[in-house]
Amino acid sequence: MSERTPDRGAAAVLEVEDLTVHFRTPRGIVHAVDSVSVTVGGGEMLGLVGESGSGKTVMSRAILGLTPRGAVETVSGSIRYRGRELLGLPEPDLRRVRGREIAMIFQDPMTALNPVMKIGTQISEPLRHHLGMSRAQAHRRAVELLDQVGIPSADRRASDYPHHLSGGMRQRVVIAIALSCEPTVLIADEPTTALDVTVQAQILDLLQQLQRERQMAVILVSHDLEVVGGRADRIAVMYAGRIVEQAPADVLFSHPRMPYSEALLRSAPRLDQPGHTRLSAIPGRPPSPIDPPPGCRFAPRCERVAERCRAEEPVLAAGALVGSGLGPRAGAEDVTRRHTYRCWYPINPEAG
Amino acid sequence: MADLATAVDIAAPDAARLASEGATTRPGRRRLGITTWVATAWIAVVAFAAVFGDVLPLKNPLKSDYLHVAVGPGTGGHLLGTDEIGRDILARLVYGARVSLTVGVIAVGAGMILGGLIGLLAGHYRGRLEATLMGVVDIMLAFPALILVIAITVFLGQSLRNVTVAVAVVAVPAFARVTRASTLSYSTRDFVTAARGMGATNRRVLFREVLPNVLLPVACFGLVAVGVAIIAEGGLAFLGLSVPPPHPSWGSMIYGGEPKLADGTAPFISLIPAAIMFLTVLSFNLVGDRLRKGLDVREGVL
Amino acid sequence: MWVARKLVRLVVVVFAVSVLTFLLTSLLPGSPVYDILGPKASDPVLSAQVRHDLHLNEPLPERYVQWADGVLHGNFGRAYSSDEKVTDVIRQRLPVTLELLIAAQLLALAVAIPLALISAYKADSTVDRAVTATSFGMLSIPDFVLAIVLVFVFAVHLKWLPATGYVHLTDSITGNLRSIALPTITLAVPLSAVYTRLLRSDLISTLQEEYILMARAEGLPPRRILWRHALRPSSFSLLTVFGINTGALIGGTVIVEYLFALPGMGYRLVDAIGRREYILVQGLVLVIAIGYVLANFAVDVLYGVIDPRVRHG
Repeated sequence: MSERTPDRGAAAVLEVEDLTVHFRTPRGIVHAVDSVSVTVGGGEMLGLVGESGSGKTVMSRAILGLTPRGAVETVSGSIRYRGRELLGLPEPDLRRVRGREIAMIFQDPMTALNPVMKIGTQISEPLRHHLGMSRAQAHRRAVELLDQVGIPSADRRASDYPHHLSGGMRQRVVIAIALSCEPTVLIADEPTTALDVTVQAQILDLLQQLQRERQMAVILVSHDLEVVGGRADRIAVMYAGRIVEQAPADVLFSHPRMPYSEALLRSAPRLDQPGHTRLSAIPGRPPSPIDPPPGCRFAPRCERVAERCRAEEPVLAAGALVGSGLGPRAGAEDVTRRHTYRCWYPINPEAG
Repeated sequence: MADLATAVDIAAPDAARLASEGATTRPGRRRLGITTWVATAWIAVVAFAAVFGDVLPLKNPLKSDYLHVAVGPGTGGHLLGTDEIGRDILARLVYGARVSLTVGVIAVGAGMILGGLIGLLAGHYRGRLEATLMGVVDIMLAFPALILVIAITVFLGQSLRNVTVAVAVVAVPAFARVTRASTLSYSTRDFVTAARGMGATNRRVLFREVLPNVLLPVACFGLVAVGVAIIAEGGLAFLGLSVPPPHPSWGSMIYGGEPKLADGTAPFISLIPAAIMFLTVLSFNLVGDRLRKGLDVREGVL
Repeated sequence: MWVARKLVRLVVVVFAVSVLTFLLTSLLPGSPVYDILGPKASDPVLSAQVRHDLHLNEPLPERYVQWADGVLHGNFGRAYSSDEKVTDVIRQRLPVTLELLIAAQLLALAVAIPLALISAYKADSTVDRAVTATSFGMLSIPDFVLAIVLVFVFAVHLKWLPATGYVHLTDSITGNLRSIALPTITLAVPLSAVYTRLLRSDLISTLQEEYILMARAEGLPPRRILWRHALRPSSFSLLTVFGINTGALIGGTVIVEYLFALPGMGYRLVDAIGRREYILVQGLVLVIAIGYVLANFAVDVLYGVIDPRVRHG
């Protein structure tokens, strides 16, 4: 637990500790998420970045208890919302948290909306269920919400069906549904991946604006660092089911410690490089999630790999708080400024 | 016949869906359950009885044993008892199987070939050919099926051949619809376009690429249709319109035994053939369904 | 408008069916004169009389036109042997068949929808397996077998319900319901089995869609999700088959009507075929075909209502 700081929000509103999710498949046990720990403070935006298959989607679904029931082998660890344990909570109680306290938006707005229900009705659903509104009340509120997410002629639009709207507008509707009951936490799972590039920025701006207005905690999940870059307060990098680095955004971009994070940064195309600069891709592929090898999971692809990396898996270490002049063991730690990473031979050795 | 119409329309979108989801002629990899094996075995037994009935050591199905009228199974050397005028039930079942399976398999088979051809051509060549063919098919389908079958048997006379023809006639448009739906889905898929791109003629593409894939979904439907046909023949026999007495047929056996069921004196006369018919239809349905599941890659993911 | 195009098709099909029926009854083997007069057909005067009455001496196309013209004016002709007006026969018999049909379909739906919902929600559980197995069994029972077994149990043994006979709705409501109870159940059993399987299959598909996951993420309870979010998108196969069955059942209730001695269309039609009452046959088949085509048309229109995407297609 950390204390309030003047510029950032309240105590950690969502704490995930040692979350592990394993699936049973015909070919073996899939280690989708392994001992992952993240914290999100109130009003803060956490960016969760990783390649496809890194486990970020499984993790975001696990928070709300939405992992597919049949194939799960293990779910352990702790997920605390405002101090209350969510893991293992019985369904009816979990349902009261979903939508009302913690909401989620999905990647593809075309498939996330029910094709045969009017969008006004879809927004009204959680309003009527969680807040007990009447149909008329819910409809009015739905129109207000549509307006807030930037949909013109909200009143008429409420009677439209999803296929009448463009991709960007549909995603706004999805956001409206998620925010309808004023949740404290919003999990946005790749909200812009299925959208045109021009629309992506609009949606992200919208999310940021809504977040500030409502002082909502947001977990922004993406495979694209650019998406997360200018907007998140903190970033957690995920690889092969593990969090390999977690730091305030500005720190991560300027002083990444884990080689994977640095490789990610390097591989993003930049406008300030000369034209026809070769994109640097990270060679190789992520390891199979079934029976991960001992040692660091990034070892096969790491430029700086050494013996120890292959033998022992790196533990999560805390780095100095950049710019604070304090060492790792200083008291009064601000959780939101902490920088943790998982590497035996981190790059960018600490200042001071 | 509600069942046939239903079966068509379950099968048509199914066939189309299977095609569009990438099922090919790979046989089901999952282990066949015991139910399927039992069902197949049962069908084999019935088929065997139908074909080799003459050489089996059975009593005469047409002769009445006046000493043992309407006796229960096991008495007087009659393994399954005798019917209301003393004829051996087991023997009659075996000969009745011949009727049921002839109607079921041959009528459905004929319908599958003719109707299948129509559907294939319509679905593959499209355009005016399709419009004409399917127009005719729609009109035939608008005719109440059962009525048509009854009408044909009444007008042409009662005989095994005519019943088979009648059922076949009704089966043709049904198969045409199902085959067309399936063909449509396959014809538009990439591997067909690729074949065309390599210079294959339309006809070659039809027979070498599309047909093998269409066969399986249509065969599934065919198996279910056999069940429907057997029931249809039974219904006709019940109305007195199937093979004329004294030739045995499962339906007429059930009909003959009905009074003794109603008064409770010898319910087995009706119930034994009823059970046999039920088991046979069930077996066809089960095998057809299992075949369908074996093709559906997606259900395995669950 | 797409509705107009479908209407045109409807008319074309009905027309074609009428022509087909007419041809079939006119060209089939067996002389109607002999069928009607029996041994007296050898009498030249009588047989000439019959031939004249039935317009048998006139060319086929003309006879068809005469008949069709009559139909369009509401005159379906008279059955030769019984001299009943065909329209009267229809008016008496059709309501019976319709009542049976509607009752059976409604019963089938009332059973199938909840069963399918439970089954799909708990897919692969014991409940689901039991439901699926029972459906299979119910699909495989021949209707006449079911009928006689039901009669045996409920009419003969328990004496709760009548075995045969029909009581009109206007005479007595309870009497009417009791007289159609067993026939309705006989028809509804295989129907509900089919509907349950269809709906369950589509529901299972729908439940894997992302918008259902989203509804769960909103915290909506399962019952609400099933009824309000999953049911409608899953109804297509069910609707198609339901509609087709409605049409098919008009002619398909024959055996049940026969077994339970219900004065419906199917029964009368089979009777007419047996007695070679061609005019009656033509009229009845025409009505049945119209019913079938109308039912399919209604299904097409309903598609547009349920799935708004179709309206623009």
